[in-house]
Amino acid sequence: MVFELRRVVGGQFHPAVVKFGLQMHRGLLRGSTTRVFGLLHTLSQVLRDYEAPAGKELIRDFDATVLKPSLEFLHRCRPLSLSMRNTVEVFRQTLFGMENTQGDNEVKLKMLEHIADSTEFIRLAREQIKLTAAARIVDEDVVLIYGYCALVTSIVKYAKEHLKKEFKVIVVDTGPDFEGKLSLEELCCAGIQACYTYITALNVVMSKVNKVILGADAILANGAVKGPIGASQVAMVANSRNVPVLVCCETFKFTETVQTDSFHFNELGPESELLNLTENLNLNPGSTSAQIKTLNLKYDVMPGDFVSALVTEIGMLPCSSVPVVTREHFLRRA
Amino acid sequence: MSSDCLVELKTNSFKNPTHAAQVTLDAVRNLVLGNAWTCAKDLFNVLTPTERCLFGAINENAPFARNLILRCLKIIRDDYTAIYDANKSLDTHTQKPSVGWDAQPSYAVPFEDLKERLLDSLSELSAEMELNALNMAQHAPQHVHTNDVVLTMGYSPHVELFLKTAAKKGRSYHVIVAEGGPEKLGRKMACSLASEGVAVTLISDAAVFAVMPKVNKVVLGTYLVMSNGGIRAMCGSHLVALAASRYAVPVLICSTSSALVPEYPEVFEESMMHKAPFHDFAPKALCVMKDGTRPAMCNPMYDYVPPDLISIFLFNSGGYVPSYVYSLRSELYSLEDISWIPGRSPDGEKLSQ
Repeated sequence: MVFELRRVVGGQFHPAVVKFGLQMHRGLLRGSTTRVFGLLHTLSQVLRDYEAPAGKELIRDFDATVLKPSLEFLHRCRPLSLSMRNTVEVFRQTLFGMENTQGDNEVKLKMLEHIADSTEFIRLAREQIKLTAAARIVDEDVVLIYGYCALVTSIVKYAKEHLKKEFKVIVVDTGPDFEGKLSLEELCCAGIQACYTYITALNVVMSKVNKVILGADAILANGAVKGPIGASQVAMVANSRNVPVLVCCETFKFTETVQTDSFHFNELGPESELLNLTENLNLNPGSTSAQIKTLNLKYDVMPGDFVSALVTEIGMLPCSSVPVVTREHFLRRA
Repeated sequence: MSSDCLVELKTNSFKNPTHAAQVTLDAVRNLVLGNAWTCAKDLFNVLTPTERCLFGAINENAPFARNLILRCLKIIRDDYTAIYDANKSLDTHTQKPSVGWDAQPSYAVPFEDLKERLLDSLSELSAEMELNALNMAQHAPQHVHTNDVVLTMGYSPHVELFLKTAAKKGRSYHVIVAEGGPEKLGRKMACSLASEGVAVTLISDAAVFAVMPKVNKVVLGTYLVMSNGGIRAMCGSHLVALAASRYAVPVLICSTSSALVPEYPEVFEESMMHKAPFHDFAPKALCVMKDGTRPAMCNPMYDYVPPDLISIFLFNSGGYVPSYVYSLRSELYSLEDISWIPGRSPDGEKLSQ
């Protein structure tokens, strides 16, 4: 696979890039934040080992000969998430902002510092979100969570273990990945009273829920939330029963893209996950499976009006505040 | 003897809704053929307790048997009244003219031609039942057009027949099938439709909202139809209907009038949580809490979809809006047989019994 990709993209890659690409390709890195951490770590390793050829300028050469092809390679391993694109954009902006800096070593040191700062910033943001969101959980709550999101499970666990709240959690899961099992396992280990259900039962369980907490992969400039596939359905049913929906998301995931449907920038899972005709069907698979297509989307876009509040490290915000926050970020960097 | 032929019904060994209705109809026909009764009242004495017994039955197909008994009760009442009126008008000159409401018929007068008339009506009902689904599917070409994108969830024989009929009538359209719960019966549906040459795309239940903007029509099957026009259908139907209403996509419910129960949804609230077996998706031994207990699992069989999320019902007798279903109820069933049911009458009053 790697060789094939190398041939397509052309050129040699740093071992860290290849390793990270394969990890993404095999789905070993769960969650977009994990992948952003991975990306930052990879970038720091690549940058550290990079020496500008004689007579070339470090910034431009690094960008053209190392960064761009590496990202192209990574993108082919697995499409870069919006939060990764954001991270790359900020990285490049910072890089080009150093054109006046003297000495290649100085630039490299400053960039490594930037990467370390970014990593720390994300870590602290998650910590802050955990505190803010956990404070919203009160005794006798019934909290609904969907699939697996490390941030959301950490919030629920914090509310139980540190704030000593007594509440119940309903874990809603869906195929083909059944990531909710991971959440359930973690919650059970933490001693939280949890109930497990399938996404089709949403309407039935929602009557007992009084808070929905979701994670997100990105928040778009029109207030839409890009989350794991099915999250918008959870929010929709919650909305129909007037149950508040909290979406936990770090502000580095706020993007300037706008989207009104789920088809752009999506990822497709393997067809075999949905269509495994050999099992438990008495129909003739050979003749019919060719005519059956599958659409195994991995993300969906939730309209902003389903969301009661975004929980971010800078506080609880409405979805309409996203463009303001991204502009502030931009101005601060400039 | 008369009650013997209904014992089978009470033991609830129905295979599917059609089977339940067929077995019940045969039992009622045998009852009518037998000599254990002389007047209509004797029939009520056998059928009414059976109907009430079936109302409380756990079996998922029992409501269809019960609905059929209610239909038969209505037929007996109508036939009796018709004969009674015919005989009355013959000697009307000897009686005082009646003013206002007629007294409740006693159903106690034995008429010789009642048996024959009942048997005729029952075979009519039997013929109607056989054609139920086919008649419903005849509406398909009106609703499914070439280049349409239709979304359905899980497997329903009525929806299958409906969509296949549309395909046979030369409509070339696209169907998106959602898996439909942990049992994934949607795959059966997808294979069945593909074998008819329909273009099928299979999606997971989580992707229903994501694909809804591309859909022209949602077609769902149902288990029961309530008198208020709501449905008790496969778990997940509410989700699909809600997503459709968000994108203003019409929701068509394919069913037959034998699924129409005379109750209102509040009667079913308690029995809503029938548990389906947990099949393959339960995380088995891996989730044991610290104190050794296992987390609770919730896997309901049915969902309730309120009438405001439904656009059209397609029954064998035609298309209806949800608000008209209560009228169909009074057409099919006699108020005397269903007035004991707790709940409200169609005009919103609490019934006295």
